[in-house]
Amino acid sequence: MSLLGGITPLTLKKSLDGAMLRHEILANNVANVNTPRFKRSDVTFRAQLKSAIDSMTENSQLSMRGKTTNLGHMPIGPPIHLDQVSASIQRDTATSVRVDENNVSLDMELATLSGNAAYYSTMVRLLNDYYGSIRTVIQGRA
Amino acid sequence: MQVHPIHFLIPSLETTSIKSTSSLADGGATQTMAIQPSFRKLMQSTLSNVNELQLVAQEASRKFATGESENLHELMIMLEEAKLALDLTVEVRNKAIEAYQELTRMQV
Repeated sequence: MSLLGGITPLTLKKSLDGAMLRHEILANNVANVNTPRFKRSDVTFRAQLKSAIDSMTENSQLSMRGKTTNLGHMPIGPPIHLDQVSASIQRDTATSVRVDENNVSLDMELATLSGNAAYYSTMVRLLNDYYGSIRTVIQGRA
Repeated sequence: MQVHPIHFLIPSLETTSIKSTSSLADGGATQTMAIQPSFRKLMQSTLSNVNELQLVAQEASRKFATGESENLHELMIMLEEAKLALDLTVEVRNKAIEAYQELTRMQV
């Protein structure tokens, strides 16, 4: 495990990427709260991160991975490396809240948005602390 | 997992100091033999404790990042403990080097 390329900083970086994308998507949902026929989207990345970490830390031989021969193919199985983890955007087309087929609930979007913001700032702090401890060791000053 | 407070270390320090003063009359060889292993053991166990704290904190932060755990306050406590242990280690090292340099500067 290298100094800055360990599993933990990689996980934190990827989670920041995911949280930023999620913020954009959720903000887009809020912006389109009055757009007829708009369907809300959401981003999942934590499950992908978890399976990537699991495949990197333990029984990496046991987990199967589907071969992709076309750009349109969906990857099957856990990613081999954390670098290859990417957040995926899902559009919820099944539900609708109003008569105009829009399914954005403003209250829920705002609650999810602030939850995501809290998650993002926690990740920033964790990464900061990680680099801080390395800096402490390098400088030899507490 | 846990950094021992200083009062756990005092009995062992006392015994080594008693040994060293009693063996001072016999000769220097037994004295160094008595002190070295216990101090080395002490350093090793303390350093591995600090390392363990860091690893536990890292695993907890990974778990929080992947959404496995939602317990933010516990994570913050772990992080702070790991940070404190590391700072203490660095400070002890600095003091030891300071003492060594003080000795090297001493006029004989």
